[in-house]
Amino acid sequence: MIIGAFITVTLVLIALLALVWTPLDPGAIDIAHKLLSPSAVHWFGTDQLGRDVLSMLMAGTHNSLGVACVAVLIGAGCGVPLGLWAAARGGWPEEIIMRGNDLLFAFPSLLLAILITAVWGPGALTAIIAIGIFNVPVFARVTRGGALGLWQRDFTMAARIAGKGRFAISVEHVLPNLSSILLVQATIQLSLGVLAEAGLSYVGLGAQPPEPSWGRMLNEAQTLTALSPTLALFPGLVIVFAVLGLNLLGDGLRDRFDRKLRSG
Amino acid sequence: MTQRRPRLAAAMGVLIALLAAGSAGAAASRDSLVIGLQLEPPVLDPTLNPAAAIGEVLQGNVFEALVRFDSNGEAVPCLAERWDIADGGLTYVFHLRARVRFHDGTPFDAGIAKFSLDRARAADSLNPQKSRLAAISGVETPDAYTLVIRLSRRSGSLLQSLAWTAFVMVTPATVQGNATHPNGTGPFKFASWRRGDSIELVRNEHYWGERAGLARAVFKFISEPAAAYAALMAGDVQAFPNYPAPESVAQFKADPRFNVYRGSTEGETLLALNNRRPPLNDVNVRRAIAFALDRAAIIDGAMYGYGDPIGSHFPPRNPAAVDLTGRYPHSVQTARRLLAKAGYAQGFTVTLKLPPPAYARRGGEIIAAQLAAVGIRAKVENIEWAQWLDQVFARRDFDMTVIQHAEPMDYDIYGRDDYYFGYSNAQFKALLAQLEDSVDPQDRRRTLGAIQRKISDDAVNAFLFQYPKLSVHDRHVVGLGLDNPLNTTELGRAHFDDTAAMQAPDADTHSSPLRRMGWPALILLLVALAAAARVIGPAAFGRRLLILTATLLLSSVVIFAIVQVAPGDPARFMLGLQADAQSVAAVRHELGLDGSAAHRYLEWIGGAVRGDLGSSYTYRVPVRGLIAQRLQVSLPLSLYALVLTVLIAFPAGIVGAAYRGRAADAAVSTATQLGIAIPNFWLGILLILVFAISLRWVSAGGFPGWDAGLWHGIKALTLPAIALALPQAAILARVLRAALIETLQEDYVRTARAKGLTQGAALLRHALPNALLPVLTVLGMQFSFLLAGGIIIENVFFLPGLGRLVFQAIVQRDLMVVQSVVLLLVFAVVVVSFLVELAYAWIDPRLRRPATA
Repeated sequence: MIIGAFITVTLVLIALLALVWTPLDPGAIDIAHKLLSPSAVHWFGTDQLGRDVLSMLMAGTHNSLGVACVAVLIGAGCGVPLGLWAAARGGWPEEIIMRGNDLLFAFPSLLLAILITAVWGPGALTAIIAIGIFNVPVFARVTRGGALGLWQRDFTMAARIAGKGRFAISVEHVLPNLSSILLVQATIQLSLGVLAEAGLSYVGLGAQPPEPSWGRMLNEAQTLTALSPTLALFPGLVIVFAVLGLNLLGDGLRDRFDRKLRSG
Repeated sequence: MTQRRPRLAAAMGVLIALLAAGSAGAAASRDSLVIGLQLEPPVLDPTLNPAAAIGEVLQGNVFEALVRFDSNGEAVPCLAERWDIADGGLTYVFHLRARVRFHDGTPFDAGIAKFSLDRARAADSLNPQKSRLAAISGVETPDAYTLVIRLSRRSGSLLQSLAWTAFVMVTPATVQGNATHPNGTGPFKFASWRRGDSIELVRNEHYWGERAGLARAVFKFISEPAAAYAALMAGDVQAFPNYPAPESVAQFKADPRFNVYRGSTEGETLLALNNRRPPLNDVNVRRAIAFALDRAAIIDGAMYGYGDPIGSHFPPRNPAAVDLTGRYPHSVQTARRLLAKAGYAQGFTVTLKLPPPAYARRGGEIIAAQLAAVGIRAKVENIEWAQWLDQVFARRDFDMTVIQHAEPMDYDIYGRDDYYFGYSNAQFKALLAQLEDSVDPQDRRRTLGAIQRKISDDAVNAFLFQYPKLSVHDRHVVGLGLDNPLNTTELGRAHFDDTAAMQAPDADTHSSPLRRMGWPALILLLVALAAAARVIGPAAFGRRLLILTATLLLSSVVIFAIVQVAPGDPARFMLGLQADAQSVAAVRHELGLDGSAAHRYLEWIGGAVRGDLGSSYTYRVPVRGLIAQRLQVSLPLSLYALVLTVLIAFPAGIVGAAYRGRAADAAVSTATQLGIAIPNFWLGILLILVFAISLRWVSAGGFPGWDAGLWHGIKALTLPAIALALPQAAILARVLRAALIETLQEDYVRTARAKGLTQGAALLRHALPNALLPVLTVLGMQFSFLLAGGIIIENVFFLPGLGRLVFQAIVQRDLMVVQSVVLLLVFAVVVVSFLVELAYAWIDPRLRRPATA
């Protein structure tokens, strides 16, 4: 978990740093110095237009993390209230919400993302929406599951007897107790979001040029693997690094909360 | 406990049999070739429009002229069998070939030839090369197969001019229709033109010469260099005669499936200089620029090393070429000295306007940097073609530009005062006149040499490199006529060599395998359902079936709704921007787009139930056929990946659980942790890098078709299946390990251990069967993921599966295809999870008849 937290914090710092500074301008084209191997000036080499790969990767961090973060916010923002409502009300709202969830789960996530981008055109925004939609049922399901258990507990019973409404109980008693599960889920969805964003950009449906993006760098590198193999190496390593970090963090958080729940 | 295993196996077996039923083979066709071209012709009449793309498709294939070019740029017989030159070069007598017919049956004779030439050189003719026939004073036809051309002055270049695409033979009756239905004498007949997509030619069975080896040739228009690469890799096209991406040629050279032809074109690539404007009107300044440029670096940077350096406006492969590349060797000092001599010791500032092609944009960047080294500040301005034609070519509002002059024998542009670079020199014009006046080959050669030297001496433009001819084609395609000055692709002798077994490349030449597999699959499905209904009870079964149907209907509504709000009218997209409202309305009606949304939805879904998924907007063929063909790749790929997933995950999960907490477990955990974090498409790229590019064990993508043999098909799918399977196997192994560890703690396993079973035996005989339930759920979900995840992997490996179909459809806004493929995949996912649920109930008696449980 410490490793995971370390990687995640590093990535966030790099993303912030890249907003104000990169070693070289990630958009600066310099054909005379194209496809260079890693060197002291260009640590990760240069691409087919002579752009500095390290700078492009750094600049691509906020795109990747940004898309995944906003998508998680969308998912949590819609999914958590739905899940709370379903658990609090039961009956037909619950049935509708859960069937709606099933419906969304029936779509392979990538496919819906492709359908959405096909209709609204590619771009970071459509990628966010496409990934975000898939986070909604995930959060709704986790929230509902957790909330159902909490509704059976003494403190919610007490609050009901005290005359509090379902809405107030959901917000004041149920939600705070779900925060740890939701945090774990958010971390997992974040890592899935980074993967999904990379996949969409790879097929050209994510962020559009000149905005740097890890997935698109891999796509562009693919026709050049015979000339410059390292070009395809670094963006992939960075994606693995980011996803691995978030996964480790998520696993670590879950273990910690599980232990707390058991001992507490 | 143990009896469950055969049941599980049987369940899986039915599932796999159902899905495998789709992998029937497509018809082989070895006499049909698909050729990629970057630009689409605007019209198909070369006598009225100068677009080079017209000739690339039609010259030598549909249309023929009196003579044709050989690879040296000399005129050789075509429709004229032989000729005599009389009157000291003022009379040409052509003896025409007899028994030649146009595709519509019209016989070719001297009258037709006279009509074609007179039409081209008439006062009101719009022929783009009209001026090349200016010396002709009259055309006569003494008999049906003799044509006499009389000249008012000698014209040494007349024979070569007659080989041009602009002077092909046409008939009076059909000449008006040539813009859309070209009628010529060539080895191929025009068949159809799908605007924005392709032109199809078919063999002319009554050709006067040797019958063509191909029955059908399709020119497919692919403008993006990256798409050209993908189309070749995927086998969508089998040849790309003017391949636009030199950076990926190395990739094709390393791939045994392809042949790379490297030749030269008539295209001189120049840094064109506006000779009218100071300081570029000073010859010293122009020479300084010539010295400032490092051609080798430009060729390397702009063309990845492809292209021969030139020193004048003349192709090096021409026998009359003089090597002048040493005239201005790269020298910053000399350049600076010349600039100082001209009074520009401090340099100067100019604009450098660059048109869109990569050679210009990349080359321009490097040139600007090299000029900066001698003090010339070139401001780069990237402009579109329309702007280039208007600003640079028509209004001459430029200082410098990078451009390729593709026409053969076009040194005469240096004799035109009004030409865009504005060179005007009396000595040069005298040389041109001298050349026109001589018919003696030795004389002509000497004069051509002088012409080249004069252009080079005056450094009219900076001469960079001869544009390379890079052609990439399937190694089984032989006899492509690539080597001619018009840069066309003559297909008369092209054919597939004997060992080739090609997959039918296009969508509309197949019988529907869906229909063939449809009935057995349906019967199997019904049997499975009946069995399931018996096992879990009709009531529970009915409820589940109801949910299944509802989910499917709802998803179809969602898909339809999403597609409906798509901006843009597919009819307008198909017809292009110039289309008038009436034809748009007609196409909308034809596609059924003019009904209400509800009506269209019912049409679509009603058709889907009957197995009719509508018609593709771009291909104009049933979507079902397109999908059926692509399923032959996608379905086997998913199944292959599924099998690999199980084969990798089971041992890993079992080892992890059996050696829990020990080194082996830690290794499995680390590996699975990594496996989950690796994007499958990157894994695919790495696999290509190692096994295709470094080791050369397999090809870097593409699919040979099942007709090439089962083994070749499986070989082509192996790397993609591994790339798909490894991350999924990591997930499955983790699930299995956790499930095993949980069941190992159950009482009955402890009892078994107490009875004396070893840890291993207890694990395999008792824990594993019980742990299979959660594993089966995950596996069911994974199959849907493999099917959908294949979409990206197919693009990594350029497999002609559903994924590529979807992406091509997105690019072409073929929403009918998009919505139907998505529906099909959702259908597959829902049905698979339904079957998994049934299998679940079948395997685990506790889940049967939940009403009584």
